[in-house]
Amino acid sequence: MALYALRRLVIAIPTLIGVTIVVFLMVHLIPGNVVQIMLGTRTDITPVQLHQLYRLYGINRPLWEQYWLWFSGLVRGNLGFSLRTGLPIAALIGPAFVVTAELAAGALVMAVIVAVPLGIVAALHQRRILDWIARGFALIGLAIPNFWLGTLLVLATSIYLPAFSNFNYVSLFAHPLGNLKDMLFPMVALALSLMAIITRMTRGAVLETLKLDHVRTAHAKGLTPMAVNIRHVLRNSLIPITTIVGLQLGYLLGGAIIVENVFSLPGMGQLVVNAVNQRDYPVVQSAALFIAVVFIIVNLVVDISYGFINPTIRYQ
Amino acid sequence: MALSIQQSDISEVQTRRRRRIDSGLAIGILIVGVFVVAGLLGPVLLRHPNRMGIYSFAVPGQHGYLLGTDQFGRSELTRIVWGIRTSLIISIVSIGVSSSLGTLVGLLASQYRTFDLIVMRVMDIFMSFPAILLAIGIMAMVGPGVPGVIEAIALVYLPVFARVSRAPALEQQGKEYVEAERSLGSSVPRILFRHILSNIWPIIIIQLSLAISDAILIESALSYLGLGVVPPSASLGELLQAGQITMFNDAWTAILPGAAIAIAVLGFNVLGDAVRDRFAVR
Repeated sequence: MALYALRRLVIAIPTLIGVTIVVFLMVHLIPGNVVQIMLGTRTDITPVQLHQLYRLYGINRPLWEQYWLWFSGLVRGNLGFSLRTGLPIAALIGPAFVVTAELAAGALVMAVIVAVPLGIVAALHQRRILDWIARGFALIGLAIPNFWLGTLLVLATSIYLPAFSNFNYVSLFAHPLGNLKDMLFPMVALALSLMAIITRMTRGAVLETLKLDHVRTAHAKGLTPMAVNIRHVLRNSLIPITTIVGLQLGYLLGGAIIVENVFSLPGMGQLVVNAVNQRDYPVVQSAALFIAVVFIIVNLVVDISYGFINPTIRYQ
Repeated sequence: MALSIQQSDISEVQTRRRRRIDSGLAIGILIVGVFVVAGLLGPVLLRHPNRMGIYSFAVPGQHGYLLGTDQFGRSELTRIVWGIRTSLIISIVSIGVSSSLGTLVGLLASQYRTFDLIVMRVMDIFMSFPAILLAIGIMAMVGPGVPGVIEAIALVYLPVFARVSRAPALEQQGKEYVEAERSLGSSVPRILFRHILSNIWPIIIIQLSLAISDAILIESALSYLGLGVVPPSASLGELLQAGQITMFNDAWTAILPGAAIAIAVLGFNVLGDAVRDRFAVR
């Protein structure tokens, strides 16, 4: 098992380095350089000052040297500085990531609480009214974009629930209740499509389990349907269900980026989008890298934990 | 007797399943068809999407506007139809490019070991980003506008199609008929395109419809964030972005474009599911 985990870790390292190269090139292939963007239309800069600025940002060096400077800074925990505010980017990412993580975790919990029971009920009532309702919900939930649902929630709360309508973000640690009040609707907006996916997949997993021989045996030996469902069907469906939930974790991160912008939550998504709009490329670069690294780590942890849950995976 | 009962049971299940798939296919084709026809004919039948009138924020049905007007008195119906056109062009072109290039990469990877090792690692790197983040990053690089959005979505989906086509292509490479073809001295392009591609294309077709529905979502998300299609051009995401600002004056400006996105995505999803089930039956 330790060997399996180690192998997965070793495979992830070249991918991580590749990700830093992609992010670096993406920002450095943009026409114009950091200094030109910072100066904008200012013309009162002497050539000497210009040269000093170039040296400060290391732009007169070859590309690979610039990459190395940035990369070695990253390894030491220095993510660079914002062009607009001059603040260290690590200080911007810290609080922003807390918001994103809370949003994603809340949406995940919400989705699992609704979708897993719904999927199980749908499977046990296959081709009956409850099944049709659950499947209709899954189909529609998957089609509604989270940013439209978010917009509608902003609109509806401002008309019908004014108490919930001012989305002024307060920290979870400072005002837990105020924070949850403001995070509730963003979490709902983010959770809907996840609910749809998990409902659908749970239903499928339970239907597969229902077909297995041991379930028929359990029925044949005279167990009550309730006992069969709980002890034999549910327990055996849990592995595919956890797999599905794990696979969706990373995608929550992408959804959160959009939903934050709908509700003006100061998370990673808003940080990145604002930085793109303000052409604050060092922030774009480091924040995008940070999100990608979290994405990779989450997927890695999920992968390795399957090795624990389901030992047959390890040998594939 | 027992045997005949079983057989009729099986055939009944199959017919029911068949009927379900066919109704799914019909609904999917209907919705997608309405959108495609609207996108094609809209510009012929309707006026220019930026033509302003004197009534702003008309509600649906008011002053003869079927879906009302926006803050500049522009017809919502006209703008949504033009928006559908833009969104469909972006989605279909970008997925067309990524599916053909991605399949080419997948086929070549199944043929050449070193190409496989290098290119699939690169694809892994691109798949290490959440799709929307990669799209945002590319938009930052190429700037807003329709061509930029097409490039972004095409690049996001290229690795997906490369992966989807590589695995079955590798499987075909191991089969005897490919071995036989090779020993007959057939050229590599002939083996890849005439033999392997003709055996794996259903797997790619199944992905197409679902990828287009994802592409519609990515386009609207980018435009909603103000990074994709920007005013005065109309796309479904751009309309929702504009509607979000004016929704407190007229809620319909936010409701209608979003509903159009949801119905389009629903249509492509239903179509994709039905196509997938249809191929799985065989």
